[in-house]
Amino acid sequence: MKKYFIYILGLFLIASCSDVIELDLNNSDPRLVIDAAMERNEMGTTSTIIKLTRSAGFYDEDLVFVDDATITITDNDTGQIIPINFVADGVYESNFPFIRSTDPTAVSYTLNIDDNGDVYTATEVFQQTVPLIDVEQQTISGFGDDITEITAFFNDPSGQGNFYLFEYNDDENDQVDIGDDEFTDGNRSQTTFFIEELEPGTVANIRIMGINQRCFNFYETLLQQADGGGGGPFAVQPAVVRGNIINTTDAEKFPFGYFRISEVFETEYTIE
Amino acid sequence: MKKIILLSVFTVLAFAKAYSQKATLSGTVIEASTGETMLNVNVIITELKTGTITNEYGYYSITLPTGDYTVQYSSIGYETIEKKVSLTENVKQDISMKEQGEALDVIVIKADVEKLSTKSPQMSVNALSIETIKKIPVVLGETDLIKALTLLPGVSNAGEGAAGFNVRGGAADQNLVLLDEATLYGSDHLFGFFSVFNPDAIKDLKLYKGGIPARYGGRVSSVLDIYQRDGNKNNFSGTGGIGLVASRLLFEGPIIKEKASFLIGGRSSYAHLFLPLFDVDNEAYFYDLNAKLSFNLDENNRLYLSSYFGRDVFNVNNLFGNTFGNSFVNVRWNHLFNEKWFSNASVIYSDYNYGLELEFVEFTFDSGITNLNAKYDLTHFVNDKVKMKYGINSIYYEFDPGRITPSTPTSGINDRQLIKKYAWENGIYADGEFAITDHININAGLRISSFNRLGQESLNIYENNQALLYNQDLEVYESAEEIGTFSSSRSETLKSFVNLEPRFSIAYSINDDTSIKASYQRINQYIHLISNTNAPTPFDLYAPSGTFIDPQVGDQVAAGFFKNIGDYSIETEAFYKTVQNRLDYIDGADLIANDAVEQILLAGEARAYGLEMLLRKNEGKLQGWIAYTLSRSEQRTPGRTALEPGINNGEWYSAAWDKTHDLTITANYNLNRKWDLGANFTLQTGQPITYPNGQYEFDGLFIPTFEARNSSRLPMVHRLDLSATYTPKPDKKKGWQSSWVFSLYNAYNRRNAVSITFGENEDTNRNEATRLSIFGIVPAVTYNFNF
Repeated sequence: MKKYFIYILGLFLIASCSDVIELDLNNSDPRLVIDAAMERNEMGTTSTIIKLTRSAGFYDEDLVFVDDATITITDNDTGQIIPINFVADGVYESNFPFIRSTDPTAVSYTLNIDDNGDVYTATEVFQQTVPLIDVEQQTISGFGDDITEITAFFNDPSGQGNFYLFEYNDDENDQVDIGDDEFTDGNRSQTTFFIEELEPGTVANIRIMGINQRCFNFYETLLQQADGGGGGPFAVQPAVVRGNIINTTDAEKFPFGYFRISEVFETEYTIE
Repeated sequence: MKKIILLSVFTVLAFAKAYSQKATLSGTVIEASTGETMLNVNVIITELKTGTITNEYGYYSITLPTGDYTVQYSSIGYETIEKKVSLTENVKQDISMKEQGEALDVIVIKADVEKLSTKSPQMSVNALSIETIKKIPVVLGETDLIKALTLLPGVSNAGEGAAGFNVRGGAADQNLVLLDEATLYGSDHLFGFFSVFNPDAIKDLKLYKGGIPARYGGRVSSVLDIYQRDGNKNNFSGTGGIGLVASRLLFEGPIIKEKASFLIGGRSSYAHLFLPLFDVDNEAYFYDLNAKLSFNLDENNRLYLSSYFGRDVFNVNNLFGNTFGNSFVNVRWNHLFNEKWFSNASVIYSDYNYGLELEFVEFTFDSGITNLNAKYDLTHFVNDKVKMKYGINSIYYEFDPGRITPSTPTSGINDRQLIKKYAWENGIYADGEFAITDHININAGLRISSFNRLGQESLNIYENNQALLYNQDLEVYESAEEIGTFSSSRSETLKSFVNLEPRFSIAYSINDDTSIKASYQRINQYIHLISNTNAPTPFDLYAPSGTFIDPQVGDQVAAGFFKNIGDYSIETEAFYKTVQNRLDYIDGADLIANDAVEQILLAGEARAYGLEMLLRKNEGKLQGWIAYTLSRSEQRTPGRTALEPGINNGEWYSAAWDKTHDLTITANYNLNRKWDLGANFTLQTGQPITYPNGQYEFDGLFIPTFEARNSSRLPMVHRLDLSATYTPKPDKKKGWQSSWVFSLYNAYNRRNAVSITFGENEDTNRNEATRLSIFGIVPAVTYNFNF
């Protein structure tokens, strides 16, 4: 809802002005940031990608990669422990076919990260989803630069309480959106991205991923924080966004980030 | 409880007994030219050095030992009337007062309502006459009652462009805003840039910051009581204005001369306001309609019908449509049983409606709050020492969290009505003003309030009655899953609350011009605004107390020193206020169209304390005031158990509208008969803000991390506004009369920050802090007329 609100707010800002100011800020201690996703695509292939970085000072420009951690994922059904290997720039990857084809949601998997003696863990299960069936495009003018509205459709399964994570990617833009079926249960549903200055011929990749409610709440809080803070009448209160990963060595040094296991469907769309 | 009622009854009887051979002088005071009833006119019995004032319907009554008296009726701006009265039996004396001015060189501003009364125990009240408000320079020249109030001590808001107002550190939803006794649920247009009150339709207003009399209830922080004009009973006339933002036009006149009148007024901003740079499909405007009929049925009965309808309309490129606003209709009947018993019965229907249409999601959303309010108030003018008020009040509420409807046949939205909630709020009170000695006046009252949350469909049931759980491993609050639902008929009560609300004020007059006063109040607030932004937004909805939400309980003590020195008055007050059960929201809570808000709420507490000083000059060519407030307003939400952190680790944090220092200087100078000059200067501590202390990247998103909530401050705010009112023909009293108001907001173009946002620069990809200021220097001109 907030993004619609920002439009309205934008109307008032005509009379206003903004400028960049110098402001000294304090720096908090760095924390481990874990972006861990195990995904199975429609071909049945599972890929696991984990990105480890550290939080930094607000004005710091370079990402701090964590390249020397030891990562494993445990299949809690078989007890099998699979290492996830370091690739480059904080990225760890594995193509191990964790997610089985029959009854995939019955098994839980535990992520285990050892970062110089601090051990972080999270346990999750596979979240199914549905394919995207259609993509539509519309141009919105009247706000200065034209905005392209890209809408992707899917059929929400009825009576389940589904949660979705969506991604839009092209060479220039990355956007994330989330959805639930509280008001659209069992219907043809949609996700909408608004992208500025989109050239015809641009190839966009749109993804739909299954997530659970906790992950949905995490992303919702995260997106609120990404928009903001900073005061002003419409500011949402700042919050620490806590995910599903625990530091079992020292609870005070909790990490940022999330570990999710999703079914994913994607579609390519060429902007007209 | 019973004891207290008995005691107050005995007190009254005792006072009544103490006098014998008495007679009552009573009547109604009206304005000579318009027939409009006049509030707060001083009625002084010269021989006895006692007196009274007219009530909100212009009625006065005073009971005295029989004898011959000189009675003085006075109100600044009007010629004082002196009458000899031989009071051997009851005397009814209606008075009509003539405006001063023609013979005098100095035009005195009608500021009587603002004059300080040192004797009355009532404290913490600010009154502003509409004439004063109209002369205060404001942004874009649009006279704004709420912005004028924020120039007074103890009143602030959450920054330029923020909706609502904050009184003595209270939240915006803790103000009871009454327009002709009807509750308004939003006081702003265009998200806080303008207020909903058409200045031409307003007769008078009073803001109670503390010492709130027992006849008011339901909001813990303040009462803003605004009266609409009745309409001219003698002649047909019109008033209007053309401004940069909006135009207004109001007609009034007699239906039956001196007996019945009408008033109808409208105000509308220009469509496309703020949108000159965009193409024509966009609209943003607001309008108000005020209407009133009043009838003097006979000597003892008057009937008033008044109504208001206001809307804000936004339409952005047919993508986003948004309409919202307040409306009310009320009928009031004044009845005089006899010269000592005045009564008023009111039936009020009011509602706040919010509608939204999103074209790209293909749905419409309609929500609102509706209430029906019946009131009966009785005033007993016992004698010149005692005045008693009694009353009952019953409000039936329907809370509609919203209906979501697909707007196209292809829409993926299911038609759904979020669960409506119902409640019944009642109040009964007794309130007395007693002159104990020549020096001590007290005002003591008791209100018993009750709130019944009525039956509804599908009330969620949770295990152990816990709607919100704390996940200790992940250290996050999580909504509990309901284990069932419970539906019941609206005639049943799900949960009820009954509370006692004592109110007490005392004034000790050291001499005729000096007094000290103290007050205590307790008020319960049964409805809560569900909002997690710094200032209210039209999206916000009220939620009733009930099974999962307890009422807010506000306590306030205040003490003050008051002095009149010639044309000047000094008021200083200190206050301390606490509010229990102030709601806060778990991180990331989604409040919009949420059917189970109990799953995201935590109850906390709020406190505020401060010192207010007001130096005012009420007469002469130069008038105005200097107001200074030193205060603090905080909130905290500890965990429910030792294992939970609560919000902000359970630490106190500053409210979004907390301003340590707040100084305003408001002045009006009457240069000559044609020119009036106005200026106000504001100097305030910047508002609290939360600074980031780091950042990280997740899934391509840049996420700032923050320090403790509201632990830093925006830069200091200061601003000078100027205005000049030009009346080309000041002597013209008939036919077309006009004036021009020129104003300059933010005269030295100070860039006051309303927010600092932290984000990535799109071009350099570097993080930066961006300061936003809304209004630079804004010149404006308004043309006002009446005929």
